[in-house]
Amino acid sequence: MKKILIFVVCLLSTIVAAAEDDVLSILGGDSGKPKTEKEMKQKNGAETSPFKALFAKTTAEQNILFGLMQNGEFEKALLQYFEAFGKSADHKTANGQGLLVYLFLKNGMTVFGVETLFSQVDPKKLSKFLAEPLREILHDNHTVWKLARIQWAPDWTPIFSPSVEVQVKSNKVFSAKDVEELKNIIKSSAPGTRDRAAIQWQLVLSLAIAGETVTAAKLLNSLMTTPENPVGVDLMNMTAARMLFENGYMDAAVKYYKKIPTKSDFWLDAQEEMGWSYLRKGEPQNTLAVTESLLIPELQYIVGAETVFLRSLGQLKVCDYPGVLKTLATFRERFKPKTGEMLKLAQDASTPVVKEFIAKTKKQRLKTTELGKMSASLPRLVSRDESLYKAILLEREFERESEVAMGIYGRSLANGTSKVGFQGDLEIFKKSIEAQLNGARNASLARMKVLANEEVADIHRLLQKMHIVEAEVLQQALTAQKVVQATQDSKAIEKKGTTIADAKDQITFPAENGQVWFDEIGKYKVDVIKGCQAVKK
Amino acid sequence: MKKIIFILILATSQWANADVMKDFDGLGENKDLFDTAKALHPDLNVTVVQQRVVDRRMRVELAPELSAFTGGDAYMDTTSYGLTAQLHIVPWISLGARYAKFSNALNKEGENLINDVDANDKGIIPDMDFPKDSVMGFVNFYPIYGKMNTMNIGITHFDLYMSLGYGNINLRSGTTPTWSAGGGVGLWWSQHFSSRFEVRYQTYKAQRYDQGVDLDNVVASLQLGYLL
Repeated sequence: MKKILIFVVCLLSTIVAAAEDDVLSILGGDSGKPKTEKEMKQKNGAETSPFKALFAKTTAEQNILFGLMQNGEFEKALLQYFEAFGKSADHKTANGQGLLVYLFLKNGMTVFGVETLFSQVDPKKLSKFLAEPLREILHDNHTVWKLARIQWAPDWTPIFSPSVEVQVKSNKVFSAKDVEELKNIIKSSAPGTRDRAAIQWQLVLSLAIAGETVTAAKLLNSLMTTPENPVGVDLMNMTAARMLFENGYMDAAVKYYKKIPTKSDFWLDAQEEMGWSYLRKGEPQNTLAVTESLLIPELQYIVGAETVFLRSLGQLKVCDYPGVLKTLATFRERFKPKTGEMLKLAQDASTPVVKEFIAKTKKQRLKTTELGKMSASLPRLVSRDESLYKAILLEREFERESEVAMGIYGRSLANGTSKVGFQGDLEIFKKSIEAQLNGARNASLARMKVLANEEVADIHRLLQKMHIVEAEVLQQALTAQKVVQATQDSKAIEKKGTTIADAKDQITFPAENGQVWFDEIGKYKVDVIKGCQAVKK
Repeated sequence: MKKIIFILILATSQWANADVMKDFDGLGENKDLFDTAKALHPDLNVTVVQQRVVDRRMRVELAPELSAFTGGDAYMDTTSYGLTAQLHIVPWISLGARYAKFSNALNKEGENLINDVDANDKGIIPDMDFPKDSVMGFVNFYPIYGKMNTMNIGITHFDLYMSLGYGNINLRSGTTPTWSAGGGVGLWWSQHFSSRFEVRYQTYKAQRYDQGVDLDNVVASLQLGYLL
């Protein structure tokens, strides 16, 4: 009797287990052999889909989904997902969300997919059967790692790679406080890779800001010779020059600043900082030579307030008071309207010029010199701001992904299975991606407002300094007669300009006031005769 | 309460903004006091120092040349084509050699002289000692340089130069010495391409009815050069 009972129990359990495994495998949808490769796939798909194994028990709608996936019909599969899993308990699980992300990725919604993955999925609970195809799509060199706004958790590292971890972490804007964090990231990066070089570059900046310039300089020196140079050579030279400047090595700093070519986007900054170096060296005539180029009207919108302030200081140093007067007026004429524009932009960044700039940047990153007339109404450093550029790229990507989503949504009635096309879940998905797009657009405009506010603050800070310069001129003017008396019999002092190194075959031209030859920019030499001395009649 | 705070923030920010704009007023406008300090106004000598666009140290320039002669034989039009080769030692001196092949044709006056017959039905046939070819050496000095805006495409450097030459000219009657002096403008379009327009005085002794006569020519020539 026991034997019979055991036999019956075994038989029943086998039948139940088989039924639970797959009805298709028991009843067989098609008794014959599959006739075509597609049929073979469909048959195998339903039976062997690795995704199916992620879920303990599958419903009919879920089986349709796995069949569609196996057939490579990912658009239909995405539509089917919401019917298959929308109301299921599996929808909120790591594997349920992971499967949805996989479908987003397969439908070309990469950024949306990755952001969903990192915000909704617990990496510890994600099945390796799902992790593998995700990693296959989101490989180490995928551009999404530079764009997606994600928070890295250590459990993601074994799923993707240390390289991806470094890339994601290096997207953050680091400060001087983050030196230790950066050092830890470097430890997890592979030596000799571009990822490591990129994070080392961040460390150079953080060390420099933290005042550890010697360590920063050593690291920068090694980075400058690495083939995996993470930033352009011009920025490297600028950084080297700045470190030397900070430490008082003016001649060496000037040498580095001179390495920046005229065509570089950093040329204006290099020239201005070179002007500061000359001033600190006690060579105001060279500061005047440098700023002579920078203050031409053609560059007025891309040259900052600090350059004008620098010129006024140079003029003050050689007692060129009429020159200072002219420079003070230049400051007022240039930066009063600019401040007005920036104040308007800080209130509402959705201006035609901003829209034009964003549209152009989506096609190609613009250089400062390529802004043209737009620069009058945009923050000065708009084209160099990495946060804004990233926001614009993200906006561009979400526009593309949103179009994909709208297409899928539009086709859902025609392409869906019997039960899809009317679900609220699909509406939620559509609205979700639209919200991401709007968020990205707002982020670009918000960043533009921040830049406008920063520019106003910068101009205001320098405006106050210009008032101090004016007061100093007034002070010096009051004591001018004493200086005249004290110096009227002294030998004339001549300060020769040294901005242009002596070389063979040099040719010189007089600098005409008001006439700008573009080949002469950066080629000015100023000799000051009898600066702060009485002029003999 | 929130509304009040919001209004306060808005009002404060507007006030701060107005403050920034107001701060610009009066900046650099106090001219009276500046005038008192003009006694200390220094002399500022602002110059532009540039490198020559085209390197002209120990470089060879080859240039085909077309020339037109005027002022020589009254009955003849003379043109020449040839080749100049010169070595630029430094940007302000070059040494060169010129070979020219001449082409001569009777001008209207010469034709009329022959065609207009006298009472004896005879025209006058002038004795013309026309040039066939010449070889000359020359030295150019480039004391003046400049640059020009070339139709807003780019900046072109140029030199004004003086030229002195001496050599032999092969005339119908035989070979005779010749010398020349003149000047021109050389345009340096790129590291390899140049052009020159030159005007020079050139003289030599020609034979007319067995008598030597000095022929004084004014030569205008155009050269297109290639710098090796």
